[in-house]
Amino acid sequence: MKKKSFVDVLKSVPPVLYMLLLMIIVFSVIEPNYLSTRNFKNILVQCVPLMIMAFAQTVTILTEGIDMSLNAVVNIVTVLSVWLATKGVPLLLGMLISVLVAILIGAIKGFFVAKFELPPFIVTYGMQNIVNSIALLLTSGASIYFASTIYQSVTKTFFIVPGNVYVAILMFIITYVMLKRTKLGANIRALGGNPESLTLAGVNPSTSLIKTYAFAGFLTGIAGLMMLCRVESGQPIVANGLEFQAVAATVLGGTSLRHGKGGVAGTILGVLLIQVIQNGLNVIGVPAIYQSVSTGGIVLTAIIINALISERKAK
Amino acid sequence: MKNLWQSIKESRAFYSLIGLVVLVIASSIIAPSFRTVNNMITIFRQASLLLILSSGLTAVLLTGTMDLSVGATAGFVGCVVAQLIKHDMNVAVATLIGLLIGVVIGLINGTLAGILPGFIATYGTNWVIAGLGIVVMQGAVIYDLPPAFTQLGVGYLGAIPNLVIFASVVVLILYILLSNTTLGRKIYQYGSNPVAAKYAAMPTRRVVLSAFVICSVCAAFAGMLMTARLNAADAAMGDTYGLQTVAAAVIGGTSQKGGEGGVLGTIAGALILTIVVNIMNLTGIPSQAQGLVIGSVIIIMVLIDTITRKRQESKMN
Amino acid sequence: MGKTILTAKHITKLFPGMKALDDVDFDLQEGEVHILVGENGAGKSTLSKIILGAYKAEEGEITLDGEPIVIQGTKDALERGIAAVYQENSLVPYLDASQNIFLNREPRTKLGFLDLKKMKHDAEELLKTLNCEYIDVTKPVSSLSVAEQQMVEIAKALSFNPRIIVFDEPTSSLSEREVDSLFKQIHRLKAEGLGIIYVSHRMQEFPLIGDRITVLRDGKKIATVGINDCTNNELVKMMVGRDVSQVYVRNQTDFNEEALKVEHLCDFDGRVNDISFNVRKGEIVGLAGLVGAGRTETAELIYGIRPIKSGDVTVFGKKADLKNATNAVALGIGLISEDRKTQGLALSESIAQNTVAVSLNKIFPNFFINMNKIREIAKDYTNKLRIMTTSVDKKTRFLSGGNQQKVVLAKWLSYDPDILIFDEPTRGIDVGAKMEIYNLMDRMASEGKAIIMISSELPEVIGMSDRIYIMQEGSIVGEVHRGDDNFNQEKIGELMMLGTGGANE
Repeated sequence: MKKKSFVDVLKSVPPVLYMLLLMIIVFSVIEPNYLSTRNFKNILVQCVPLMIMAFAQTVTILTEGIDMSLNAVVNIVTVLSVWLATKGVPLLLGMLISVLVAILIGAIKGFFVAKFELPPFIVTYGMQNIVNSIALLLTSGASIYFASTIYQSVTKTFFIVPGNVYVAILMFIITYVMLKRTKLGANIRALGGNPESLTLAGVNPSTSLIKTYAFAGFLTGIAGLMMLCRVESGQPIVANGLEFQAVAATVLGGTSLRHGKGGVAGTILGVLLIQVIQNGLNVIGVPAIYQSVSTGGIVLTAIIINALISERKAK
Repeated sequence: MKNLWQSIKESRAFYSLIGLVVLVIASSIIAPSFRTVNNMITIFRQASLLLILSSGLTAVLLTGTMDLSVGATAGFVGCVVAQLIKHDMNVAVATLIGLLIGVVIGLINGTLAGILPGFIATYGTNWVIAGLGIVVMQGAVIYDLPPAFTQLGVGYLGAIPNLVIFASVVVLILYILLSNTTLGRKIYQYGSNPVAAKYAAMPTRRVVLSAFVICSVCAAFAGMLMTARLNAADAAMGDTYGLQTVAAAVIGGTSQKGGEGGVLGTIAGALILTIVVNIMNLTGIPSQAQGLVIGSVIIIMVLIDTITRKRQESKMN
Repeated sequence: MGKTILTAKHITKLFPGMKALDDVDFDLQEGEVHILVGENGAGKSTLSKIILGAYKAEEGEITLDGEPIVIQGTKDALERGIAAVYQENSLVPYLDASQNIFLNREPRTKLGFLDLKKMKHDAEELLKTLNCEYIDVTKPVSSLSVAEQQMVEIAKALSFNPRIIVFDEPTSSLSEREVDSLFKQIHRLKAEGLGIIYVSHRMQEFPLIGDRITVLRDGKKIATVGINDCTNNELVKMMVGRDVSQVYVRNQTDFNEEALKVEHLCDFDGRVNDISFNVRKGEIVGLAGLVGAGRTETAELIYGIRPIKSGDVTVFGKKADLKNATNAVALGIGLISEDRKTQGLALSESIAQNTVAVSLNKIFPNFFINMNKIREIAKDYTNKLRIMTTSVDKKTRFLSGGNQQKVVLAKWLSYDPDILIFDEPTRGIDVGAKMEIYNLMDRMASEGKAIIMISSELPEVIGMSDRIYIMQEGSIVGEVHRGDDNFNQEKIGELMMLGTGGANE
């Protein structure tokens, strides 16, 4: 084993990390209060649902898929849990049922993608319409509420950080281990990189694909629960737009849309970057009407830089 | 005649056209009011913006890339033009500026799509453009535009709404552009195999840029018509169109992988989505439930398209 | 030679509209390399896929060690000890070698997780038996060279402890040196008593590894012969079904005007180093060399799609400014590229559409096109080149390799360039189509075109060229003329190898 020089180590770090550090430095120079524990806690708590959604998106993208319905699934999980609670089902049981529903929705998407070889983008966009529609029907388009202490017991701080951050960490570990140390993980990379190899090895690629979407469904379900605990209500449109942010985070984290290249660790950095930008613009007091264009602009720039750097590395 | 039938049958639009016919027949049975001339005109009017947007997008999809920014582009250009006109600019000049913005956005998207996957590049520009829309509107909504402008969206030529005429012209131009010109051929060839296109000495960059410019100009045009039709401008007005546009083109048989499909199918796709909404409105299905039906229609149409095409291919093999 | 391991008798396989295999018999013995040859579509892949369980035959019987068996899919075949090394590699690019080798058979820990340590260890052991311990089994295989990937592929096949291995065109993407080490491995496996089925086009390889050869044609078995019992000519005759007394046609004329002059050409990657040569009108100039010698790169420099670092290209006396392929084509330079599926054809486009791909602007200078005119042009070329098809509207994806290559030719003929580079023009196509292409090249040359021919098949280069430049590691190391004493396989082969015997990279 050759020892890596310091420069090699610097080069091997994903570029998104430098961008993340750069943004933090910029924001803290502009607004010294930015560097407070409270603010960082804020960022962490805020990003939990998107983080877990992004893990789901990463896993899907590794199979050369994409999921445009993650938002709808998060929406329905918040709605269904509360709706069931208002009908007398204990909230915890409702939450469990909601996660199971999320897994089922994932498996259905996987079924269409796998068995009929439909383009994932369009299947999941169709599914987004369907699931969002159901969420709207359950709530008649408004938010629905059910008071409970369960929400706070998740968001409460245990040992420095709030509980939902631990959930995100747990989901990361599960996803990471799944990708690295299980059969399904190996199969996922094969699905994106060379599905033929699975058939040759006697694996049914369809089954692996359905399992992958179901696993992503599980993650999305958990993301939905974390969203529920944050907003403490059933919100039929709360996550709309996050499905795309999850794609952006995945790409920023170094996962390629093709060939099964990448992994879930980088995705964390991608999500943090997006969240740090959004939070930072707020903290330094950028007026609301300029926030969307600034966030979009910085994220787009980051994506471009990321692509240019990895293109160079490939050479 | 036999030749035309043969070529329609073999084109990727075939099954979406059949789907359209079936849908029209079914709708006529379900809702008698569907059959009226008035309702037909309404459908075409309602479909017109989607037709313009999705025909433009077809050019990009045929190159094998994606443009997610059409909705935001439409909204943004609609807002800019509304502001310009509100600030007493001549309508013709404002419209021209709107189209120029379309060209610029197309060039930016096309350039970025050379470095990044089009999907992710245009998602980024979508974000920025939508944000710019908010900035242009300063968080407000504009109402009451001069009739010289709104007439574009609400006026009629005889019994036919201006919107329908505009849509027909745009669709026709795009059809000719893609099927009967050297640029169109190059777009198809590039989409079918970008590497082979490069080896065939095609100016590939320029071809991709052209496709994106076509798409964004269509989006810009649709955005202005949108504002004219609504007699108002709102930063978010184009948002829902983004993915719907993709869906229209894809259920019309245009492959996201590029090289296959065309405007004919996209017309069918846009009409199918519009008719489904129309019939739900006629039969009183609540708007909240409509996504359920639209989502199912999208999946079913793509399912039929995929299965039948696979069957055809295996026959050829 | 040992006892018979596998027999296949009266195998018939039907595909829609055709008999892919018709009553074919085949057998394999222990410690034998049994070569399967035939033109494309002759049925050799079909037969090997049936043995591997990827296809099911409609009729016939397969026995393993004398026992009749029915193979239920690839997994079943593997469990019975029949493994394969595929032409296009079957590896997952972003998984490491060990995980690739044990895909779907991963050892697990007590907790049910993959036992990465054991996988790494076992993979390393396997590669050691192949003398490839230098391959890092924990790196994604996408970062390995093609040859290393091929070795991982073989290790993967070996990990099943097979008794039979099917090699399907294993050398098509390997350099000569890599082929050598592959053959060493095959010899070793053979010595261990494995039965090897070797599917290949490359006749010059047969005597190096084969024991017996089975020739298939049009789905029928023509003969099984011992390796020393028949000459190449006889083999070709069996494959093509007619006498091939004169494969190469070359009617030399006088060459006067210089069409292309290349001086001190270099690229940025160091693949092409100070190359100088020329081609005259009516001349066929061959570029010979091993894989990686820089021949294709040279062609790409002249064609403008590889950036030129330094040096001059002169076309008909004028210095050319080659920034892209459009420049080159405008100067009358054409390139029939090496890989017809990825570089030559738009597979979802029709024959007609492909035919006019380069000449579109020339035929229709006024922006608007006329599909009927395009079809007319294409029909003309399908007749001239004898492209077998029912219609020019047929997508090229559905054509055989030979017909596809002819469409690529049609694409260039319709543009009518003055200088045409053929890069591996006959790779993977059958003998019949090859001969038609040789004829065409000869005809074009006598019409005054300047032709450059790149090929890894030496007999072909020697058969067709008037002059041959020999390239080695990016430089020209020799030039031979037709009629000279050194215009033969031995001398040219020697020059190609010169200096390559050194250390492994």
